[in-house]
Amino acid sequence: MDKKYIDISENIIEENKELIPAPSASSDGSDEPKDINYWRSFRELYNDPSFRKEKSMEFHPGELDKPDLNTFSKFSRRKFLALLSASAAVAASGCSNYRDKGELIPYNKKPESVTVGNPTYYASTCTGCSSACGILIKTLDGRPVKVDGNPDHPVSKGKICAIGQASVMSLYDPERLKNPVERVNRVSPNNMDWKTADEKIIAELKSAAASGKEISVITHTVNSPSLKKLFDEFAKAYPTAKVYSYELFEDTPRNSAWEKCYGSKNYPLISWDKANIILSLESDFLGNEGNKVETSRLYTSGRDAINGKEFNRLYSVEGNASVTGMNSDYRLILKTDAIEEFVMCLLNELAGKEKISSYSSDAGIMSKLQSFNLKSFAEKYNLSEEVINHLVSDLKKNQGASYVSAGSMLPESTHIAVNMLNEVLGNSALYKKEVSNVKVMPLSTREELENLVSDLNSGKTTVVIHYDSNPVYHLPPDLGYADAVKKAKTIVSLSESDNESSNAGNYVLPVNSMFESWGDYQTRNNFFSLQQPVIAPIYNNRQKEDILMTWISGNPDSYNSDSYHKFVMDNWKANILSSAGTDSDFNRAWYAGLNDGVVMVSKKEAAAQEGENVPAPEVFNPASFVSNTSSMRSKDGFSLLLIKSGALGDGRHANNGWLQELPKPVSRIVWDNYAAISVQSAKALGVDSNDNISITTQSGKMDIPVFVQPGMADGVLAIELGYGRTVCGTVGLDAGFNANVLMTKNPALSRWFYNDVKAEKSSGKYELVSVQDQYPMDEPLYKDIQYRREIIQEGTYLQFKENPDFLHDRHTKYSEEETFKLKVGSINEQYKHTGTKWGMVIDLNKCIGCNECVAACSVENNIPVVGKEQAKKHRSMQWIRIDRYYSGTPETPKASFQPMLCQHCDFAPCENVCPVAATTHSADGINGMAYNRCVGTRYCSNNCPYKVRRFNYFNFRDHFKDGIQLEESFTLMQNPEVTVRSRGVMEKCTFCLQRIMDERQMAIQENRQVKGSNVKTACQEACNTNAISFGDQNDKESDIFKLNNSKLAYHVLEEIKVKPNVTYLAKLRNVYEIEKEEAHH
Amino acid sequence: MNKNLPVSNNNTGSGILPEKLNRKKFFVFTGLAALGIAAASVIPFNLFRSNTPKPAASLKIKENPNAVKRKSKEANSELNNG
Repeated sequence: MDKKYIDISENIIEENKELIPAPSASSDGSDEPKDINYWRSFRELYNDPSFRKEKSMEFHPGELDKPDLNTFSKFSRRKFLALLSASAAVAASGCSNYRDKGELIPYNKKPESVTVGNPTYYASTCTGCSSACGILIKTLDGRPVKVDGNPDHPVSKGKICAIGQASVMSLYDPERLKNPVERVNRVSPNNMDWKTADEKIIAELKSAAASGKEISVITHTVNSPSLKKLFDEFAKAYPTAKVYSYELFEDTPRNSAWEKCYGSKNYPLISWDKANIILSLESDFLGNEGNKVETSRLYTSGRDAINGKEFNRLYSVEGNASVTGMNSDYRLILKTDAIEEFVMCLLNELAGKEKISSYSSDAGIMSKLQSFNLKSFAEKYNLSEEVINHLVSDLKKNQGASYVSAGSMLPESTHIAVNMLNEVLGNSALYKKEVSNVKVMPLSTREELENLVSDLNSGKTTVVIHYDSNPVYHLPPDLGYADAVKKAKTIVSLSESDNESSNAGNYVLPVNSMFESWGDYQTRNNFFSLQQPVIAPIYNNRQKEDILMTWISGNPDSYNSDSYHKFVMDNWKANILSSAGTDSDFNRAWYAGLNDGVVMVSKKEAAAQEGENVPAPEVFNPASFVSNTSSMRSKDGFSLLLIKSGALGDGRHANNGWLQELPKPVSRIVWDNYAAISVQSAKALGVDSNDNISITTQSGKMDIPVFVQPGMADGVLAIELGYGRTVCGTVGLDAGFNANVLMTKNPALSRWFYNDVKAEKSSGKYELVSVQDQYPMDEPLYKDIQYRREIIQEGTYLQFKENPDFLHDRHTKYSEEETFKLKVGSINEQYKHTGTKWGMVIDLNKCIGCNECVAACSVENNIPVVGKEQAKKHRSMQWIRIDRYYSGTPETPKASFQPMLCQHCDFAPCENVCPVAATTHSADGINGMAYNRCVGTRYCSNNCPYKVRRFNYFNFRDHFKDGIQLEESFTLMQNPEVTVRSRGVMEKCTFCLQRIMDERQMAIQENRQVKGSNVKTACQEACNTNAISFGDQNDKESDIFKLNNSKLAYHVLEEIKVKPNVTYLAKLRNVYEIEKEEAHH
Repeated sequence: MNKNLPVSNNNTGSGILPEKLNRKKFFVFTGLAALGIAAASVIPFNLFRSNTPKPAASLKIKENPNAVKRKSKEANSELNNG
């Protein structure tokens, strides 16, 4: 220690001693510190003398000690720099330019019809499920990049579901089967060539046919006339061949009830748009039942407040918390096994007491109903008497203009009762007469499937062909198919990717996806739709029909990749377009059909087509109701509902990352399924969310985590199927739990509904990830925040009719001073957007929270899949989200859905804080993002009040599942019009700027102004209910201008004056009660 | 100037740099670095990498010649009203 410094400082102290106060001086002269409330250490608190001495010294003892130079490194600055530059030189020479992907050479001979960079559209048909919706496939540079609905398709009318939207990912899945495979001893797969595969399989088929052994072809729904004809030819070539078809979800109870009531096998199509009152009984028609694309569009056409149409009213009676229930005006929570009793009580009330129908004089019917009483039922199940009264009154007033919909999972007896109820109400007026469903080939019955299993076990069936199906996974385990099929000598799986069924087989043959296939489909009697391949097979795969034709010919060398194409054409020439006389007429009609994707059938031709598909006679058979024995009795145990997944379907899309990451609309959970349970039932079992429970049915047992779902009925469990795949690609493997094990082949009620279920707490936990912050409903800070901050503004339809200005009148209750402050403009100078100003309007009356827009945005804008772990950290990259807010109590909540995306604020708080000006505002109102300027400070995200900005914490394409998204085929999936973002870059909704640029380019070419209505964002295009409108806010003729200036228009967080360009139309609930204003503040 | 004020001598560098790199050594280092660069560009370091499976052959995308392009994305009015 250099004494010189210490001495000097001590001298200073000595010289100025009178100026320096005593270390522990205080006003009362005590040694205690002045303020005992704030202290940083115990030494300070207890007035340690050594602490006081240290406080008096400027430099801590040792602070001024000269450093020991011997401890310093001898490595000099000069040496360091020399080595650094040498290392950099070596590194630079070793690195190649990773951006260099080779040369880009334009067409040497450009095809006449191709303009590089301009997309080409093809009409086709989606085969993601059995609905066979019409689609338009957008291709760029010869590869499909986007799927949207075909506007000419009479069912989908330009819309498609999330599964259809995300189907491009399945096309480019790198884990698709690439070559035919022979599984030696059904274990080790060996690649083989097609000729060898065909030779071996043809030999097996011939051998089986010659020895009288059955050849079983197992497929999903056959709704293709040409495929049916092909199967008939296969059966001719191999007389012992038999085709079985099945679905995991189908309408057997509904259809069999209809047959008993009306004598027809086809349930009619419903005019949902003409129904004033809809009563949904465990029927999620807005979620995953029926053709949701069509039904949701028709339903929401009756929820249009702006165009002056009268609102319909939706009552929902359910045990599950479904999308339909959450969108209903009145919701009664009722355990599912009590629903049939409820229908009977309602029937008694309307037919028995109110006598609204001629059936009231039918003694048989009345005697069946007399024991039911609606009032005592409501008391027994604690249902709101007021709501019940409204329901009865509405049904009575709207006879012939209402519809009672029973869920597909309910048993036949409930459907018969509901048919009776609809008949009493005169609702057959809403059954479409001229258009009906068509069944090209009926599904196999349970008996047929049982016979198949028994034949497999006995050896009568020796060859099984899984025709793009997965019965080992789908069929109920107690049917015994999984074990029985292993006894077959030869199992051939025709599949796009490995699955549980192909894993059990000898031969696995890769087949074309829907983008690579020819086909034709008929789902209704008034049109046919066509499917055409837009891309040649990516791998060494073949169309399954072509494979079948090779086997029919018996000669492996006869394979021709165009054979089924010709087959379909010939079939159409002979049967469907037989009215076209000459070849040239036929060709014209055929190519017109391919262009449009749809061929309408005249009424005469439709009548000729109808064989088994005779429209329902209008005469209801009351004896069917009288003789109907109710199989549903309310029991004390749990009721179990097995539900179709809106994203994964029956599980065939499990390897699609976009669909796995799509949040479930109500729970907002991603990547897993769970057992939804009510608050009270969870307490009774002693479980909370993420705890495992064990569920036992007569067929099986499983452990599954629980999710406490507000709004569920007590004693009800609801589980989505399609999860828990054990043979799947990397993405879908081990996602969720396989609840198919709980299904039984002989259910007492229906395959998807069991009310004799045992549930108990099991060991362990499993973390479920919800992308919606689940604020506890009893947390006073967050309760009803969506109303208190006016994020969601709601009213009632009655309120709106009486006073259209009710929404804005609400604000006049502020004081004069407050009102003045609200009206004062910002201190910032406002930029005048005089030209085009892009804006969006979202109608909350039509938004049902289905998440189709989220899927479409992901596809259009190259959104990466992040995986469950990252989603848990709120790092999902989806640019648009559907916020779901609850209000009310956890037992009886109301839900409000609100799409939230970048609001493109005129005074965007994100733009002001970016240190590198990576986010700026354009003259036409777009908040732009320059990815290559962004340095990742995330200040913009911090400042965004809507929390719509997404940061690439990783290069998620590299980070997720060992970089599967970097596989070559997935790079083909990217939309080349949108930048693919990398790590460290912020991104957000751009209002589909690439589509705006397309319109600008067209406007320049055509020498006109940009027209706002020509631009449709991906979310707008996908929204089944047309809830989203987009366009030029300055165009006074446009729809968006009118919507922006409508009485229901408001902005979210308007008071912070960021001037968002996204307007919402307040939600109106069509209830009798006017909502009290206090509820919103 | 007050001679009693403390003066820091920490920045004089005395004792930290006992020797400078001499010219001979500098050129030796540079020459070695140049040899290293030349060697790195010739030696196939790929051989020492772990055996990763070969990437799949480059996918060739080919349009189907029989597919019929749609004339426009918009609805055909006749069909749409059907």
